[in-house]
Amino acid sequence: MKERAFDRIRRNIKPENKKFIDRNIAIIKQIKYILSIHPKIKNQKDLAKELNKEQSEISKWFTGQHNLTQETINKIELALDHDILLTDLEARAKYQSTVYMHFVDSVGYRSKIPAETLVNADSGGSQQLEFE
Amino acid sequence: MNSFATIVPFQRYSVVNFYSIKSEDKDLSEADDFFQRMSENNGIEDQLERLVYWMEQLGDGAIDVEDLRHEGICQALPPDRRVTNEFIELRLYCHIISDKVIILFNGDIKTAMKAKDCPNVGPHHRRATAWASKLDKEKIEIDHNIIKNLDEILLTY
Repeated sequence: MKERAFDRIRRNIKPENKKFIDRNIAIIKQIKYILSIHPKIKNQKDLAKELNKEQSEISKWFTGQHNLTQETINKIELALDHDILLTDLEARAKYQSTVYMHFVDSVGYRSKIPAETLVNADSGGSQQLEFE
Repeated sequence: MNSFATIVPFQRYSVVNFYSIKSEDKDLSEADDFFQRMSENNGIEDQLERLVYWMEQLGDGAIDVEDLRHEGICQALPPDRRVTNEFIELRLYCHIISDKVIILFNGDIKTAMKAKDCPNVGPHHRRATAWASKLDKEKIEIDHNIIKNLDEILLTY
């Protein structure tokens, strides 16, 4: 039986095409996440104000009319005060210094959480905390 | 002369199942025809590969159906430019039945700003719009992301 064109294309996708899309998805998810947790900058309008730019220019970054270059990503990172891209070495340096706590909830379920995430957390339900 | 078309399974992924439309007098489904024709078109190999990979990302839940390109009452792959971050001329029209079921139509290389002005995608977009409109009126029974009443959904080709 003749192979479908779709299956043939799918089987032969070049690694660089996969990488391009994987990286795009990672960047978009990271920006969405940062905007969701940022205390002041919640959307493109807030970001434009922070960068002292027209909203239409910011919109171009997010609509693909202007490719997200490293320079653009740097500007967004500085405005949001969060990293969008983190190399393996940077990630190791950042997270090796993270203090983890073992958290045991009310039903005895044990999990490992970065200590900084508990700073503003509700202490209800926490029965036991151990530093690592 | 009109002929009838039915919905046929196209590709299953962990989150989204894709279906297509197949006319009774054609060998290939609409989506198979699109991939067959486009794969014979030199110079768009990378665009085609990326479109397929975006489809896989949608299928496996890395992006949402809301990220698809909105083209009137139907949608299209690849996703919107704010997601792809690049200009892609290919359009594969489709219709969201639910956040886990999508029906793929046909498409081509878009050469004009508006689909209706493009001789390539214009006819595909018109047919996709007509099918999407009809599908919105059909009672499509879905169980675990699978359309259960495939044989009962007949569309005019």
